[in-house]
Amino acid sequence: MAKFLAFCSLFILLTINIFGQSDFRITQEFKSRQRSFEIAIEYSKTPDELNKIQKEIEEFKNEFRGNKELLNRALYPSNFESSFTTLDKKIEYSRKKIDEITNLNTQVTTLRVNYEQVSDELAKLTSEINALRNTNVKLMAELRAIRSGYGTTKHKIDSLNKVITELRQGISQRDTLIKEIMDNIFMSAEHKLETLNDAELKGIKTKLKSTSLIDNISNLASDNIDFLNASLLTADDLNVLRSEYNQFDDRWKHFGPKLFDIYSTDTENKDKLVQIDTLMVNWDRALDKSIFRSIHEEFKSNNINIPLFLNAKEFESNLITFIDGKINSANKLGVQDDSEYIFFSENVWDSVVKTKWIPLLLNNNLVKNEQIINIDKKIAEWKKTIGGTKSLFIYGLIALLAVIILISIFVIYKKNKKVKELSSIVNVEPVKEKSKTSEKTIPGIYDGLEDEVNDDIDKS
Amino acid sequence: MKKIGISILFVFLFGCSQIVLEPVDFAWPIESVLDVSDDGKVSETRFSFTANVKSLFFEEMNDSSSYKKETVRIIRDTKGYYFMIASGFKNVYVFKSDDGTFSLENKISISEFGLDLPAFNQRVPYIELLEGEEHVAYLTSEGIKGE
Repeated sequence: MAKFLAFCSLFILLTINIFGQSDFRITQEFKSRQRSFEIAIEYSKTPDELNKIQKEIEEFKNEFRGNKELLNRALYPSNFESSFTTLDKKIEYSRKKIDEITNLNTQVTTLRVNYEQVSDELAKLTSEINALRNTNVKLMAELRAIRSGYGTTKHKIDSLNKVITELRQGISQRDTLIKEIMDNIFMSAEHKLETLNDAELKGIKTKLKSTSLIDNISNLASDNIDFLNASLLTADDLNVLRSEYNQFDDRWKHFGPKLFDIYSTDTENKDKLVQIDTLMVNWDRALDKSIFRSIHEEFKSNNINIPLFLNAKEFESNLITFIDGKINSANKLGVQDDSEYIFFSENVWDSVVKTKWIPLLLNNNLVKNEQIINIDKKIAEWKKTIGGTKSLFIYGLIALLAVIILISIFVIYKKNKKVKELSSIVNVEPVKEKSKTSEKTIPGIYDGLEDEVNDDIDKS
Repeated sequence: MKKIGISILFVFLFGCSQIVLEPVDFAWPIESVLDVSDDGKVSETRFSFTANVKSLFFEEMNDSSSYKKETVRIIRDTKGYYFMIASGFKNVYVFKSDDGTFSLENKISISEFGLDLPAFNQRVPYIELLEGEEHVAYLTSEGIKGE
């Protein structure tokens, strides 16, 4: 029976396997097609392609299902099902990747649109800057021309102030535009400037070049320096200008190093950036000097002639020297008109300089409190001097008046005495005379007496 | 004294007795197709062995350099015998592993002219031999069965 069963199984095997297939070949084919699917999944670019591949994998699975047992053993350590699980995972991973790429493409499109908008905006800002620069240059020339005849007429002063206001607005507008350009250029890349790839770096360099940003920053600083050197400004104006400088300086300190990084190998632009650094320092100094110059102008316009001062030390020493001069001249003369002191102290120092300018100087750390206290002390000293000379003068005057009054009293007294004597003479003599010379009139007698008195006075 | 002698003999006999684990299925699921290296060796990574097959080719071809750039197909049957063949072989060689060697168990003549595309399939309890997609024979370590 056993022999019969063995014979039957052999017979069945023989009849089935007249045309056999190598298991190795089946396995190889399975592996080969599996690998092909993996490559197809890796290279798929759209969800549709993935869906198509997924369908083909399903067919492939069905095709090899009959060899599942063989493949389970032959694919060790993998097996039939795990092979398809791997393919499914790859499809899911690829699907995610494609989704991300699709999202990134959308973002890139949006960014490209934004980039074009920013570029347009930059071009517009650049042309506005150029126009403003031309206007500013003209205004600066006008300012210089008017300043050459400054102070001659009210009309000229008004024109000067108008030009200064226009110029200040023009420069301020340009500062704002340049700040906007800086923001626009670095806006998108600021957070990753250190890790920019070549293409991104090239893009930024193109923008920097097309907007002439470096030249514009350089011109901006130069123009501000020229403007400050050429103008006499109010404390309010200078407050605004200082604030604008501080804002721009903050931006420069932020973006400057990034520009240095970008142009680390470009000698020409690197030199320009170094120049801008120097200009920023000069701009700061020009602002300080402008404040002192404007304070000096306050004194000058009030006919107080103090030598020009451009820093705190000169400010303190020149004022103290001026006041010392006034004190000394008062001591020499011994008499001093206190109106000059009152005008200086109350009308100029207290009302104008201390109210408008000293807060600006202190806020910008341009003077120390001690220096102001020193000047105040000196003014107080001047006041004391005024008080002393006035007393002496008054005493002197009183003494002089007393002498004059005494002399006057003495003269009047003496005169009265003579008149009394004459009167007594007149009371006696007229009877005598009347009797002797009845023809003489009283006025005639008086005239004669007057001549006598005058003779006596002359003698005495 | 006699008792001690019997005890020693008993322990000796017990210690030397062989342990047999059965049944064991040595069958590989599919044949391994291995390229012969320049120094005549083939390496099987899954089942971890390396063998020098120069003698096999010399035996078959009578040429000491005939192994070069050839491929050997190897499969192991359920009893643990290794069946080897290569393209152009007229015989299937049956080996058993023995103390660090493959020792020839049987040499089964298959074709007068040699097989161009030989392949083995595991068909327990037999090994099937194919020529391309054509069935040739079912083999055991003893020879062809049911041809």
